Amino acid sequence: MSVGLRRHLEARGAAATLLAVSVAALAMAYSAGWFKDGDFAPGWWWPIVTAGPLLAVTFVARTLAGADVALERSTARQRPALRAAHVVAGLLVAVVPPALAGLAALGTDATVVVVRNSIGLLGLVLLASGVMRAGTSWMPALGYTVFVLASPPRQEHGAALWWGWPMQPGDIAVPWTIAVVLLVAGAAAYLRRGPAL
Amino acid sequence: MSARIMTLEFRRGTGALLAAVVAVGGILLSLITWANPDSTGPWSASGPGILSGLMTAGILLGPLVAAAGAWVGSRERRLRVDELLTVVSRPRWQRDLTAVAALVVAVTAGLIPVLAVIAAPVFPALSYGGGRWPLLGLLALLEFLTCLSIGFAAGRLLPYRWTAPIVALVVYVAAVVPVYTKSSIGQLVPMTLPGGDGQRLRLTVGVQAAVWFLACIVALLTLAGARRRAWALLPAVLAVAMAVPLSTLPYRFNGNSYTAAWTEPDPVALTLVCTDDAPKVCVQRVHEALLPAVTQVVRPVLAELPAGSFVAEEFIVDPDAGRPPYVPGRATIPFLEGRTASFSADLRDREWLRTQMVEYLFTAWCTAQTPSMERAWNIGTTIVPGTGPATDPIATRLAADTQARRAWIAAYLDAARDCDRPAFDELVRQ
Repeated sequence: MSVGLRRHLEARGAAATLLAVSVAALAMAYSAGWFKDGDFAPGWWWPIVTAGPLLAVTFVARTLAGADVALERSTARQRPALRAAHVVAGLLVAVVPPALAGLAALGTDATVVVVRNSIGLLGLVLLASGVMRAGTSWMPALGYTVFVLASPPRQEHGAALWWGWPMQPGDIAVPWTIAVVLLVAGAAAYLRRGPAL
Repeated sequence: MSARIMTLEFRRGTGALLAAVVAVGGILLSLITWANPDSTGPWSASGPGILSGLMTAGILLGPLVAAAGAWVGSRERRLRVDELLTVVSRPRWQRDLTAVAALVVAVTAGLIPVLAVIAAPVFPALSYGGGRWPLLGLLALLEFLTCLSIGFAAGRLLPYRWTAPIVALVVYVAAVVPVYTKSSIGQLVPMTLPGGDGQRLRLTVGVQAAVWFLACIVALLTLAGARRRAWALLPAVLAVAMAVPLSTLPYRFNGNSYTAAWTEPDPVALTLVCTDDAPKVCVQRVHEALLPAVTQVVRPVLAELPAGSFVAEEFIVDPDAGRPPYVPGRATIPFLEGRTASFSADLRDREWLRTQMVEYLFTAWCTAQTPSMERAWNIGTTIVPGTGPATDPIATRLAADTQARRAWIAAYLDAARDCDRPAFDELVRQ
């Protein structure tokens, strides 16, 4: 690894982010195991498959901008390739550890939901990073996710598919479409504009 | 001076954003609940009902308020001005107090429109203020201030970027886990405080809960802002002293809602309000606005009963008590809690209410059920107009003959009252 790349990763807090996402994934797996062993109300796993990805993308949000966004913007050549690398790396970090935790503790159906939610919420964070500072870009995702958790959709059709997509089963197309559209839109905005000042 | 700083905090700090988030989040949550055709809730047309709605919204708003508290609590370190601020003459606790006060104003300002949206649809039907609703209102406010203090203290003690979202999730988890696990610890969580139609908070428990929340708030803010953090031990000890008896209160269903230990029947709410014209239909005062709709549902049933009968709503005080006291000529309307759509003053499912009332009417409170009693029950619950369809040959015959049907029902009610088995045998032999 070149010195430049290593310093770049250090500046973006890559190691701390990876560690934090791994701890979040472990917490997901542990809490799933704890709930699984008890006699709890049905649907206990929904908060886990929603809050776990939220934590992961919150940690990834930190890596979307450096210490001085204005300085980065003042360079003669903007670097969309570097931003694209950030999106891809962020996607991997946000998806893989929670998905592994899901596979280990929750089963395939729930893991599909974990992957979809990680993708969609990362898209939301990327979109937010274009209009607010990267340090605060987790706020819309947090507000929206807690809203859906507090008011879980009761139907698997109609408007509930749209506003409550993170808490819909993984085999329905509409929530997947929303998640992918969010990611594509977020990545495109991030690649074009970069993080907000 | 402090007022000016507080205004600045509100306008330029997190205050205005928090007020907007609380208002928009709470209103959206209410609208989603309102728009859901399947959602039912406790009757909201009373002070405790409306406040229960606000407290439930705390599952969403509590974590967001905690996140805002953490964001403000950690801002000095985040903006790297903590060293700079150590040299200002104003003590830290005063600066913290104005920051927290601005957030308290923001939370209160955000909650007012939420409260208005919850109350507006049912306000015209408000028939009863509700016992001890000011105490419940105080607990509702303390719920949000506790979340705020948790966030502020966490932000001050752990001033990292990730503190705010993590605190929000921790508050959310702390609120919902006791619900999933049905743990009595849930009684310490503000969002799941008990409520129910016709019930009021027990005074001693309500005061204990208020002291528990206040002690938590003072302990957390002292921990966050005091020069000598050890002072936080005093309110913390008081909080523990309140938490132990509260969390060990029996957590069970009392026939109408959970946590009987927190509530007691409210005698004013449970007084009967009746129609002026005969046959008389009575509901409890807390459900007075439902009287016209209920009358429409139960009058066809009432017409089948012996002359002089009346029908009254019944609040189950003790589900283990078994047979309710017999009052000659009185039939029972099941308790009406949860029979309206959320934030509505209309009965949600009239057929369901009629069916339940008929089933309740024909229930024989006897220790052992015989085949004759079961068959008679099946006949009775299908011959009243609006129920059915009648499949038993006796039911088919009675459904077509009004006089015979009413005589059969009168005989059934006599037999059920006395658990008269030969009379039941006779009823199914006709």
